[in-house]
Amino acid sequence: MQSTPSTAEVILAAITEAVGSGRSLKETLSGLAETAKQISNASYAAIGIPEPEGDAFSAFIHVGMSDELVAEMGPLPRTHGMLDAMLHDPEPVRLTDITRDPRFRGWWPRAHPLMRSFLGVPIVSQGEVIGAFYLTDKIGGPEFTQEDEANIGLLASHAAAAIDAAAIFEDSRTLALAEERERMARELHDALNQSLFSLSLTARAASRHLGTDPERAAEELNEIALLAKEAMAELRAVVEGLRTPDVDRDGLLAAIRSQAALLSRVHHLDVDVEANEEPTLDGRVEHEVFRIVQEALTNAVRHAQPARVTVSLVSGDSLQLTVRDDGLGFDPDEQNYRGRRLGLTSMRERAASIGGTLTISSSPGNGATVRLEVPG
Amino acid sequence: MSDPVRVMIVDDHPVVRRGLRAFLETQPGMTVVGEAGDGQETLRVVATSEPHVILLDLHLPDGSGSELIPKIRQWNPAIKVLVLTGFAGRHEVVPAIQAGADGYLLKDTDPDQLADAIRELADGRTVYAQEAAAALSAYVSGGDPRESLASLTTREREVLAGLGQGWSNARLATELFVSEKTIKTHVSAVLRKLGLNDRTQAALFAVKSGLVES
Repeated sequence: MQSTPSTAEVILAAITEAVGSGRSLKETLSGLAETAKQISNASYAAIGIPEPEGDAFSAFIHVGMSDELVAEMGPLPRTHGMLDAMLHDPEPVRLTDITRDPRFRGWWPRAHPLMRSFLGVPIVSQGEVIGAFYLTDKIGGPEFTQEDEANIGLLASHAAAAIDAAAIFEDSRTLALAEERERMARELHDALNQSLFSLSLTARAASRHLGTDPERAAEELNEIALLAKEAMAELRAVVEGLRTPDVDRDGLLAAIRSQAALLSRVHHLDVDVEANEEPTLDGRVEHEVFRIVQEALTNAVRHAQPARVTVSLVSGDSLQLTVRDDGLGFDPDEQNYRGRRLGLTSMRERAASIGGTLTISSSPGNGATVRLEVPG
Repeated sequence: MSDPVRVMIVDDHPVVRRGLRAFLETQPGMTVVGEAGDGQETLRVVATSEPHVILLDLHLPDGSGSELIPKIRQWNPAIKVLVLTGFAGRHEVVPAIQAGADGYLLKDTDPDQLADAIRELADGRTVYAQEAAAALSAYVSGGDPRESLASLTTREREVLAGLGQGWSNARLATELFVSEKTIKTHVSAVLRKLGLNDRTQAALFAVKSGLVES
């Protein structure tokens, strides 16, 4: 017999999905808000995470309102009134009519739906309120029940871990991007600086020779033309190399090669790509495989200090992908690799979503190997 | 009239060597006496060409140009070294000056100013590009990462190292066995003391200063 999942099962599923899946903070919060709305039968649900200081939310994710309504209401709320009250007291608040509570500040913003029943549950992480669930207008009842409060409380107690995990993942992503950008800027500057500096020197030399030695001047002018051409070729090569690889445009193999070339260039290491033939896969599968390669390469470059990384792609009845580095290696069972674990989890999830299996083998001092097999 | 200034060019880019030679040969009272594309070659050519001034690129295939300066001086302490390179970050400028460079110019210097600088050095003066001087003064006034780190407490340094690994406040609180509120206070102090705007800058700083491995 097919039964609808129990509330506990829904919570468990939501949390499993939210923790360590390598999602952004926004995706994580919106998944949690959706679950909260569903299990409590609320018309509207929101999660607010306040900024460390001031009265702004760093994130305020809400579900249940149409895009038009959201646009009409204008800017996101600030931490005032009842929204604020929830961020100071770790106790939940359950009300039949929020507008009658003294903490309500007396009016709704323009276009805001009128709300009555309210359930607010703080999200507490290590004794501190890091945010809160806000649920309003219980469907099919005048107020939220004791059971709703308990369920949302349970969700909130696990939400803290999911939010922490997503925030860590996002922080490390931002950092990686900032580093990458700085490297690229340097690379571009260095590539062009040489020929342009030479061009400037040669132009000055040519103008000095003009009056006294026209033949020598002509020679330097020719050199200038050559240097300009060289600078353009260099610019093209660098820009081409720094262009984001695109699986749709270039195909999987070319996109992998281009990603490898980019990483070798900016990180000064060897990234080799070996392949027997161009794989023929479904577009969605190619995308996921490419993401896995990117993630594996990024992990290797960021954590392992390798001298060489080899990507091997064998197509046939099935697709076999191997990304091997000769770097520091790590103990895959060790808990200390949280930033990296999130990357590994997200690779596993991508593999599973295309029916593939992903294994990671590594030990300290012996590099790491990521293997992916996707049936044809 | 005094003897011409004997100039030697050290750069691993042939186009740069060619351009420098073409331009410097148009300068009265200046002669190019040698060229080298790496450190080994530099030491060989210095020994035979007797330069007064060496134009030295810092990025050479067999090591850093800064490491060459003492070796050049060992051969002849009177040789002036004018660093001519692409970047003027403190990681380039400070070691070069500490090694004894007499000048530091970037590869976007106007050619005539470069010629003037070579003459200045030959006359015993020093010439630094504005960017190099700025990097140096930041270092002297405590702007160098390793120097600024000294202004942090041990706990603040631990927090900075955590930021360098992309940890959130919650993770830091767990790792350091304190409340998140305490961490927030430490993070604010770190940003203020280092003159940084946000966590990402702090994280980059941590990586650059060698507090965490990148």
